[in-house]
Amino acid sequence: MKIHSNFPWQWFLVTCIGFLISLLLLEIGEKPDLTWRDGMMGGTLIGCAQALVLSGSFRKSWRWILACALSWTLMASVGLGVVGWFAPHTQLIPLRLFYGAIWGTLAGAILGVAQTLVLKPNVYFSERWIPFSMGCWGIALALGWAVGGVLYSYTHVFLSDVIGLVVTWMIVAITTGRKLIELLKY
Amino acid sequence: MNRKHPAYFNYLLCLGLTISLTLFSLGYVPISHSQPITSNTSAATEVRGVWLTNVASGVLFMPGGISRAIKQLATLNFNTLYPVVWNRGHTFYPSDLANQVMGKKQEPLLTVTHPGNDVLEQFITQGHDHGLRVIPWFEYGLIVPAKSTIAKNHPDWLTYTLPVSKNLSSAQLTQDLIQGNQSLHNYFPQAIKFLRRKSEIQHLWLNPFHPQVQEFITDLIVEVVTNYDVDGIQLDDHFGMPVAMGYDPFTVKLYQQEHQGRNPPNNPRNAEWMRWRADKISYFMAKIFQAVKAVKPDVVVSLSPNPQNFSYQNYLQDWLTWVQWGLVDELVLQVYRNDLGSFNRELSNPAVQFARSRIPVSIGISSGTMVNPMGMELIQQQVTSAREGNFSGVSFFYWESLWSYLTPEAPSRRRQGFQNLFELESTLGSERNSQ
Repeated sequence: MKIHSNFPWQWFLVTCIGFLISLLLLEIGEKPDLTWRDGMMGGTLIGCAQALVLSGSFRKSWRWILACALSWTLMASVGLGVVGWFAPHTQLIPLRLFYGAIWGTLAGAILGVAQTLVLKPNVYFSERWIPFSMGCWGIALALGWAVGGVLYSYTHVFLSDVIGLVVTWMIVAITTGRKLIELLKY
Repeated sequence: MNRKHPAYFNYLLCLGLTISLTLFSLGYVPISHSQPITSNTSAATEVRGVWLTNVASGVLFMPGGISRAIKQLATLNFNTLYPVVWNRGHTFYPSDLANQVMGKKQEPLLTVTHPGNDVLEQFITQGHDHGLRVIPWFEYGLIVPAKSTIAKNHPDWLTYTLPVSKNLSSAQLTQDLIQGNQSLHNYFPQAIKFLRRKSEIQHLWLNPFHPQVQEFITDLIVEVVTNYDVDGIQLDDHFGMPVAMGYDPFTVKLYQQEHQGRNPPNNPRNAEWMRWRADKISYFMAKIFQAVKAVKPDVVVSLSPNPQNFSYQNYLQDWLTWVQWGLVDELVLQVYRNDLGSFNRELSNPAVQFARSRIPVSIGISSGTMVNPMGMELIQQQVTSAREGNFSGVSFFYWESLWSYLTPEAPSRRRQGFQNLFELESTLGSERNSQ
């Protein structure tokens, strides 16, 4: 397997840039404000960005785009919401942490299952990706929403929640990048 | 692993998908599915206006910003736009007069972001297409930055305080306006205060009594009225003069001529000295009104001042007299308050009630600023109060804080809030008009 030593850095960069570009096309809001269409658009953009890096490491990386797009669309369709692009209504930090952990874990499970199907032909121990994705998203979303809530208490503007979600995606980008390189080495 | 596809195939695939999605989303306006209910552009229906400025706002500069704003505003049943056309020594339309006096046809960043385009023309054309009135707004009135060409080229056009100083810091200006307009909760972050201090611009004030200043400002307004299909023009709370000013050589000489050689009082709040200056500003307003009506009699002369007492005491802007003299067609009173009680008190002020008996008076409501965000609930309460007081409508300061990430609620929630406010009223207005 050909893996660049700077893979985690590239992964982090494209994931964050993908999220920032997604903000030009869809608007962060509360859960009911984002539809399956937003999920598809956001998922496809993140998937596209990450596939740029993955294409250097394994074949049929376009499936990664499909996995991301379908996962985020599914999340919106089944009522979970477009988790990576919405902020909770509550301003109570403990509740934000709690709901962030629950919602993040569920989103991570859906993403994990879909992405594992893509990883399976390319890596050993691909099944490890599912629990990792759940844990990673659970922690990242809880922390991101908490950061958003703390910032909001100072600024009273919704931009705080946008920054909180940027934090979420940064944590996801760092942790998933490190785990992926670990899996791809086998 | 074997790689069947070359890397560029995936890149192209990704790129194609991204471009498709981008194009797909361009036509997508993420707001309600309702259509504008009324296309009536007269002020006979409730005024639902918004100010669009270049200060702390990118609407004039972002690609597609104007179109997006107008579409969203029309969809939510707004009906009046107040786009900035003059601000701190720059015009926001290609102006031959500005070129002549200041060496620049329009604000330089506008020339870069809209090369070859006239944003005022865009506002007017697109606004009218969507049934909105367009009333260009001469923001900042007689204020110019110390480093502006106009201040450098015409130092004799400036007025001074005593002891002699031309400067008026933006912090002082802002503080004055805030004190007059609202009691702010001091909860904004220190970081923002720091940034504001760092970016502070030294402001100067053009002398409203100087004939060349009067000619310049009048000609700017007439230029807009002559060259564009505008529904009106608007002057605001900055069309006046800080009470501390008026000690420049020109004004002192003028005062001496009319007072048997006596100097103006050292106390800027001397009642006679204040009245003398306020009356001179009122005469200047009369000249502007006459000049506008001479070109296009049907064009509305709109004014958006602070409450009368504050306007007169601090900026010598005696708008009550202007209303009495018939120099104002529409008044949009700025009542930017953080609590409903003081908001309602301003609405019941005798000066406001007098103005209402003469001309349409609508209420300017703050939809928030970066340092003072306003919740939707308070906005809704203030709109309801204005309606219960039978005012002609409401206008919001400013576009960027109607719905964006700089508001307390999510942008979609804000849009929903405005839609709830305006949908019913628009329907009722349409029914009233059809009867």
